[in-house]
Amino acid sequence: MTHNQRGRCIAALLAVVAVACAGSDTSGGAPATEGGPVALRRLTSQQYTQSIHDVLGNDIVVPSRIEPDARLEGLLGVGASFVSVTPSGFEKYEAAATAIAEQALGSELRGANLSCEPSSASGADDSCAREFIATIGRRLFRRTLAEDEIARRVAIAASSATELGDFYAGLEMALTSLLVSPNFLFRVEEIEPDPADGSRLRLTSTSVATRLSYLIWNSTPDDELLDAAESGALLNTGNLAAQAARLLDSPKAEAGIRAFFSDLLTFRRIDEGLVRKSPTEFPAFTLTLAGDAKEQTLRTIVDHLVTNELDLRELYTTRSTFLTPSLGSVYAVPFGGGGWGPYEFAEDGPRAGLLSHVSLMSITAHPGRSSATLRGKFVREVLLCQDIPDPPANVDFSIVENTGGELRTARERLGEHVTNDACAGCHQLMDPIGLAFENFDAIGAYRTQENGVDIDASGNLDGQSYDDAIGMGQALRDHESLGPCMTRNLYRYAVGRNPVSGEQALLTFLDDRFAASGYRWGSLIDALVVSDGFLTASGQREAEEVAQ
Amino acid sequence: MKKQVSRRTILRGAVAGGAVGMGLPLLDCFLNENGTALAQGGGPIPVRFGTWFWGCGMNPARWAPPTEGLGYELSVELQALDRTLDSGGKIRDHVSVFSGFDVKLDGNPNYPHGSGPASNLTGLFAPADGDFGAPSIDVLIAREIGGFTRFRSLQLSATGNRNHTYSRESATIRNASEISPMEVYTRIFGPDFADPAAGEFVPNPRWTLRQSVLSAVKEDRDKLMSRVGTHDQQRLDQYFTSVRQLEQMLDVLLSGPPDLPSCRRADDPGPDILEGEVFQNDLDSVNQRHRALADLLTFALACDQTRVFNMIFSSGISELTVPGLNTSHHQLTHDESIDTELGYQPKATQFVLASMEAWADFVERLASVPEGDGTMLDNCLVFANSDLSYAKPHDVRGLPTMIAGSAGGRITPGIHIKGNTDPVTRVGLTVQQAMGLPIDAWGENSLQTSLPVSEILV
Amino acid sequence: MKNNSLKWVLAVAMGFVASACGSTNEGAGATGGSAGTGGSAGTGGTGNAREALGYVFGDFGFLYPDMNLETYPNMENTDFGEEGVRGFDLDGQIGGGTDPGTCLHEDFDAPDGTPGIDYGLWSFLRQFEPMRQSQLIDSVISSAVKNGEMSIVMELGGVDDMVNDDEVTVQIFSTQDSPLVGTDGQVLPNGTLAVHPDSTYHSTIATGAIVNGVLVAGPFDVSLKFNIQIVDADMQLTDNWIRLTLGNGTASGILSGHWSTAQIDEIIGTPTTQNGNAAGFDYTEFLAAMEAADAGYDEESGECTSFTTIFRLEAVTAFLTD
Repeated sequence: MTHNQRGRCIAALLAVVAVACAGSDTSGGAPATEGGPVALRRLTSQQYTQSIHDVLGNDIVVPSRIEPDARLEGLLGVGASFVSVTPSGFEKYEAAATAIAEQALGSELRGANLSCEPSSASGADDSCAREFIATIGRRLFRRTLAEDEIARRVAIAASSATELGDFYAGLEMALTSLLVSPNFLFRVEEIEPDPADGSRLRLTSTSVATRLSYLIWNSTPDDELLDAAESGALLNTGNLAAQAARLLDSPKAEAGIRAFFSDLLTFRRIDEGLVRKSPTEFPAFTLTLAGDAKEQTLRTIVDHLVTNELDLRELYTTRSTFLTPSLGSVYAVPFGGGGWGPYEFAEDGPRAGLLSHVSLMSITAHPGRSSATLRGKFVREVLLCQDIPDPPANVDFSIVENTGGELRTARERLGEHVTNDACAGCHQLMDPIGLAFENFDAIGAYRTQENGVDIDASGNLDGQSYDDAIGMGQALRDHESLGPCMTRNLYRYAVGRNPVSGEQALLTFLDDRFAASGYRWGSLIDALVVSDGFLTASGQREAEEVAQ
Repeated sequence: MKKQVSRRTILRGAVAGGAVGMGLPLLDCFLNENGTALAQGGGPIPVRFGTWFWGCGMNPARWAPPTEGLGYELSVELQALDRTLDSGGKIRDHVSVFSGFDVKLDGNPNYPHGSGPASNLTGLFAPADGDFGAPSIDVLIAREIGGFTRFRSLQLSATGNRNHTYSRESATIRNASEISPMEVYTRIFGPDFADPAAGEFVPNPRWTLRQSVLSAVKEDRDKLMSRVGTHDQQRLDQYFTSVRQLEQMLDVLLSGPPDLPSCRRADDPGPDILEGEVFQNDLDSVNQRHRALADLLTFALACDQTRVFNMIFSSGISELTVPGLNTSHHQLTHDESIDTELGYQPKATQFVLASMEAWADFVERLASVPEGDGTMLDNCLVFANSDLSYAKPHDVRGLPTMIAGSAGGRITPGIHIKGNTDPVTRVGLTVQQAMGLPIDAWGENSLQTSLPVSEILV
Repeated sequence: MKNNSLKWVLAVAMGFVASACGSTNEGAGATGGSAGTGGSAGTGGTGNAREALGYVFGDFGFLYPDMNLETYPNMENTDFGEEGVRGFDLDGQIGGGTDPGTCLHEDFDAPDGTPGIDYGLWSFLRQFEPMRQSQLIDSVISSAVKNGEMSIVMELGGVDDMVNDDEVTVQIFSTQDSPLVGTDGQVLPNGTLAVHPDSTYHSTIATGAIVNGVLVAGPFDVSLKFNIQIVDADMQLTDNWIRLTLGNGTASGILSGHWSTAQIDEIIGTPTTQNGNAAGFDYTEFLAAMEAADAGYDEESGECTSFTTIFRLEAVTAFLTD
């Protein structure tokens, strides 16, 4: 992928653009914006693992069950700005840190992680310990350590080495203390007065470097990025865009985009085994299938947005995807061979777009049957950024869900929602959309009938009619909120909170740029990371701002 | 509890929990009612507090016992308490039932499956869906009595989902649950467990070194405090408390194995059911996990590894199912029609009965451990509760609660009390008083009360 | 059979006409086989699709009176009784004769009362004491079918109408692929499997017809690749007939044919007795049991050299490739 070229010359593709053709002009038309408040952002479990791998080696086995991440406003990336560490969580972090340190300084990996040798392997060696602590500590804390931070750990290494009679065991204790420090577990976003305008606050350059690398790589900044940050050069706009381009070009960027979409599409539920289907109704839904289903969607997204740099809106109409034999059997298409391979759904077949994938159809369904309401809610909330209020407490669902009765299809049963005034307001928004997908059962397999009655998947999405899921995907692609919602979601993920009112104009601007680029993913990231919203702040988050 | 309660330990417990009043009232927790030491074996037997949660309530007309007071008659849905215990008497004799105690809303939204637990466990209205307004009752009690044990509290869930928890450190910080018997075993009885049967105790030098690691980390946190906003300072406070918790754990480890006659290392539960596969929600699998976790818990209590625990059998959105049923308990409570002859939802109700059987299993397990003159159950107070009474319309009036055990002689078990629409916080207040907290009133607005259920307090 | 299944079949057939002729073999794959429902095939996957309705066996084993194999600790009092035996009259005779050139055997009645159904192996399965433990063998075979040790696929060719069609073909094959198995332990439909590359393991093609949803075809011979535990051999069944009830995506019934005593020796007799007498019988006893063979009269030796046998089978739809 040639991101640098893209960044420099999208004009070749578009008629009228505001995007500069020569170099990236950061403020090119962007409204002046004060970003919202900053806060500590705890590493998600994926970020924790990825960061450890990047700093201490990919061979390290990182314990998977640490403290669960919290989803807030639909994103784990936002929840991370509000969680702390519970007692049992900290116990687990400490145990994980000990296990990681043991591997990192064990005989196999020690050579890669330690560039010096102690004068004696059975006792303390302050200077070698210091070298390790300073180097690795910088990568873990994402900034150069202060002298007292280093000295403290050197002392720990020394006393432990002496007590245990082993230099490396002593150094492991020092490494453990780095790994359980809040400076590692939390991304600290620090602010300083903007030298160009003293009344504004901007993020420090190491904070920007951290934001950038966790957005694009879902992991810690590498040495080059940290160097650029600590030399003061990063916040020079040209450098920032260039670093962003470098990060996007790296193979590590795939992990970053996967992390974003996994978060947005709630794939964590599949990882934690929380999407379960009745074995009598849906024996095909094995663990293998669930994992493959998630992977199919992520591969499709990466292929579409990164490898081929296509229009994001077409994710909901594309027939290109990837399958395994296990998926082939659920899609009822022949697909042999041993593993993954590209696949194109039939041109006149019933499937196109991400919403027809097993992954999303399974996540938005019950263990025993599909759910038009869950699916409609997903489209409205996740893809169109429209809030649906919670149901009233005393609602009687029995008519709606009695599948054995006279009303045999979901459409018939959900009809009760819209004839009942108490329900219609919200359900009119959700059910019709979800009913478009009724041809896909609770695991996404295709069916033409329910209880012996033909399924009617027609409907209307905010004015655009469709006959089936294919048409629904097209209506979604053409929906005016699709692009802005994606912009908004990525923005929230990048800054770790909902936007404040002062950022609305910036969001509109970013969305315009996104649209002008033909909804190219790279363009959105490019514009986002040089924007005021990403680089400035109103201050540290105060307790009163957090609604109770 | 250990023979020596070092002064240092007591003070640390105080600072960590924030409780200021130390001294006699608290020590009462682990002396018998005469204030003299102590039970058989030389060491005092601690009083433990726990909660036991089942989801989706019950059928009020069939659950509330027909008679009141001691020796109450068992209702249809409480027949599970009819079991005879090896230690004598029936489970019913050890369980008090509270019917007709309401969660008040005062016009606030009734968040389905949220408002019930929030109000029952904090005394406050739920401020938002899924949120509590304050730390939960188990955390309040843990702050008082959790400072003496290796683990301040243990959260366990048989549901297979770590996010299922009703234990809140603060309004929004949740204590995740352990779901894997194997992991619980390793955590409690793994390499750091000081086994009383293991002969002479030799402290592991790493424990002290780990403490030094933690002091470095605390200094990191202190430096950060001055650089962040007030919201982050609260979060760093919580982080600090958690670090302190681990330090305390290491202190406890350094002081040697517990001196309790009924303490021995638990048996390795072996690999989890369907190792590597998802935790299934069918009743058999859930019961199996529940029993395995309950088993480990009793061993942990016997060895005074903790005195506060939370066990979830099924969560508010109860996913319990049985083979051949293509839906779940929770879904049934909404979908299933009421059988006109029976007067209730038959398929959904099977899970109410199953939940009560599981509760009986749990109580029975505690009663099967001899302690002092009686059993471990006598030295426990287990607060059973659900998120709703009648689940179909998400009713939170008459929220069902029960208390099992005698709290070391501080409560009289086996009584049915009718609440007559009194706020359910009366039960929570009673629980806290029984556990020795210096509290006269609890809750706010219509949930406020200063009237404990004195019939059960000794 | 239901209308929608018929539509499905027709769609499949159309799909073939439309797509099979223009197979685009660029890069990764061929035009797929049946698209399942609606429309023509997508593109992707490896292997060339075969034209015809494909099935994979999900269950295969000896025919017992009651398919609940878990109730067989002791087969001594087990027999088919009034329910009859689902099978074929393979030798065209009712009962066996005592004349030289015939093989003495016990015939059974079909469920509808028709006599002459041949199932000579039943005496071996039922009476030979060690074979009463055959619930073990049966479950070994049944798992072998599911896990690739002895997986079998089948094609129905020339099917225009799944309910009544007077000219169809049946062919069965070994496959080296393992079928997909679901969370209920059963084989899943719509998987993709390749027929065995060695055509030794392709049966001869049987012709037959479908009447009221029941397909009968034969005769045919087949060699099935058999690689279960210590036995790596071919299972050769000759002069077979097959009867299948066709359902919505399923085919179930019986396969009846001839299994030589030499084969039975190679697959059961010798391996089990040579391995610490795991079978609980000795070779001499086994050979004695083989004397009850009821078919395959060999004029030179004057011996009956094979047993008539009946296997039950259940199959689900699958995509087959070369």
